[in-house]
Amino acid sequence: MSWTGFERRWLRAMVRAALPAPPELAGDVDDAAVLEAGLEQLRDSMPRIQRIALRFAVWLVCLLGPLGLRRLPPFTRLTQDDRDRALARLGASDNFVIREMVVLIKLVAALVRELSPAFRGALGWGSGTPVRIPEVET
Amino acid sequence: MSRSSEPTLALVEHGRGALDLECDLAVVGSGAAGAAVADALAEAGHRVVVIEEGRHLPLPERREEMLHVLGDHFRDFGGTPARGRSIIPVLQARLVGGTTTVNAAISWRMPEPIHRRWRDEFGLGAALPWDEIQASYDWLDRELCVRPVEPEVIGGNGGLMAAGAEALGLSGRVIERIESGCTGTNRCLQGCPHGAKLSMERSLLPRACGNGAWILSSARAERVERTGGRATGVTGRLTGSGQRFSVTARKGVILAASATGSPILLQRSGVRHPRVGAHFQAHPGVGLAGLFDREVRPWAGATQSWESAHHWDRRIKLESLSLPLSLLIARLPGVGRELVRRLDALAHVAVWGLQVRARAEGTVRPGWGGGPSIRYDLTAADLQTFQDGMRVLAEMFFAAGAREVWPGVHGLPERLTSPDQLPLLTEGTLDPRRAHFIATHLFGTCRMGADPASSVVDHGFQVHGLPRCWVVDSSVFPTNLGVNPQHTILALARVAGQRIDEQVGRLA
Repeated sequence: MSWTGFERRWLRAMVRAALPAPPELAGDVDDAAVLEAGLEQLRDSMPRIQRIALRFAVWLVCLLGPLGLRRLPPFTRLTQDDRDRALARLGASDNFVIREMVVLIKLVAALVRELSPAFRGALGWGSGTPVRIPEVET
Repeated sequence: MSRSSEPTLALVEHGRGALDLECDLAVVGSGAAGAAVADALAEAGHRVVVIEEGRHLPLPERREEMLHVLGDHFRDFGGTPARGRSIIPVLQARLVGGTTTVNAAISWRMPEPIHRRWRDEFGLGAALPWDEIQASYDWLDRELCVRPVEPEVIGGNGGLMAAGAEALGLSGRVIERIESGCTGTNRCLQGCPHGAKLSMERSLLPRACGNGAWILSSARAERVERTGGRATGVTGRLTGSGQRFSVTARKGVILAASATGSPILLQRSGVRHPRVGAHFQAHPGVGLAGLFDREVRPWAGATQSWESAHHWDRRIKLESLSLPLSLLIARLPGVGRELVRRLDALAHVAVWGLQVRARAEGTVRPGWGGGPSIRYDLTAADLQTFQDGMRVLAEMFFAAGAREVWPGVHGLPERLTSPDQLPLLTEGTLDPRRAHFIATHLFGTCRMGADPASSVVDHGFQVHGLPRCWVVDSSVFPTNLGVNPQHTILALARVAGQRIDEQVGRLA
């Protein structure tokens, strides 16, 4: 079953909330385009069981995230600060399933962000040669 | 059939139609076991076809981004679940070369106490003589260029682990791997982009093809066929077109589809032995991260470069493990803008892994959708071992100069800032749902033994009750090893190749 438009919006909002673009990339059009393409690729390449788990995670975060802050769902109605708080709260839940769903959203965000060369560049990922720890090299 | 444009491999081309092949011996699986046995048997003059579910991954198609890698190279997006009290993802590749294409190529010989146990407890001394296995290791060492990581590519992650161990007086070593010319791109887990890692599709499979073997890739084996009570071929589906294929094997069928793949193939083929799929064992692991003042640059250097088996007797092995960017981010504490703030310090983060020779045994059965269904629960003693191991790792981090240690265990502080907090790691009993385990190195689901009541394959690797069907991967190991098993899988599959050659010669 394909994702509905609102499910896609929720997932996009969660990815942006779980791992926002670094300040230097805020508003970067190319970075945003990579993120969109990445979410499409993700939905296409995940096997069915993982797609079901991700969909469950999206619904769970969308509904429980706001309720945990005594706000009305969906997640997309929350301010940026509240999205941070909602995810942090669910991620610290004592319920294993809820915690794992936040981990899944975080992993998805990282997988999609990693596709962006601008994102990797902003982190300095891949630059420089291996660090040598001279005192232990034998 | 024609040779593909890939110069080193003989890949069977298939289009949209059904495919029927004939050979002497069909090998299911092209990872360490499949490649080694195919190489040995092709060299002995048998016509071999290797059947592999995944595709061939040429160097130009190897990408760094894990979204692509997980979707294309790994089974179940890298997360075949082992279900129990918690869910532990089992990592297995689906490529020509198997998991050797996407692991760190670490090479270890079987520890002598393990062989002693196999000999004394499981009666395998005559079937798997120590000297013959050592000779097999020697040959592999030469053929696969086993050597320690070069100093230039040890990198900050491994270097600091060595410093921590040295400060605590723990023994360890620079990791030995099968590679030639590693430049330290930290991309072992994505498939080496330069081909420096001598994974099977770049070493033993081309050698086997040079001796006449063929590889049928993108072909999912579904059933071992029998005629007159003996195995005579393999049937399945081509993953691209969905068409059926059959490989008729005049001399027999060899299963090398891993400790999850081989038992379910036997079960699907009507082998009802209660031990098939039982005794599933693994080396589950966790990773701890540490934050240093000095630069680590975890993206530069060999993916894994330093290890300590100092506590092997306590079932603990420690390794440096530089993760790809996305997996590292997912491992960091925090979410949202707090997580982004942590990314500023990414160049100062080290990750080290803890691998446990777990006592737990599980089961593997055919699952929904064709894959394995795995049941597996760590024992209380295993969880205690994890707590002990995490404490050792955290102690090493502080000894190496870490400012903070991030244990990644729910219920513990997100960051430990002083060695005084180390007792927190061993307090109480660890709930398996509070940590993030991952399972690699799988064993035991088609145990070897003389007694058909308690084992699946005999001393000649042949399935009890199914003549001319052999299992040669780590399914036949009666126990796990406590060290990285690739070299032992290779060595025993090579021994198996010799045994099978003798058997088919005798039967002929």
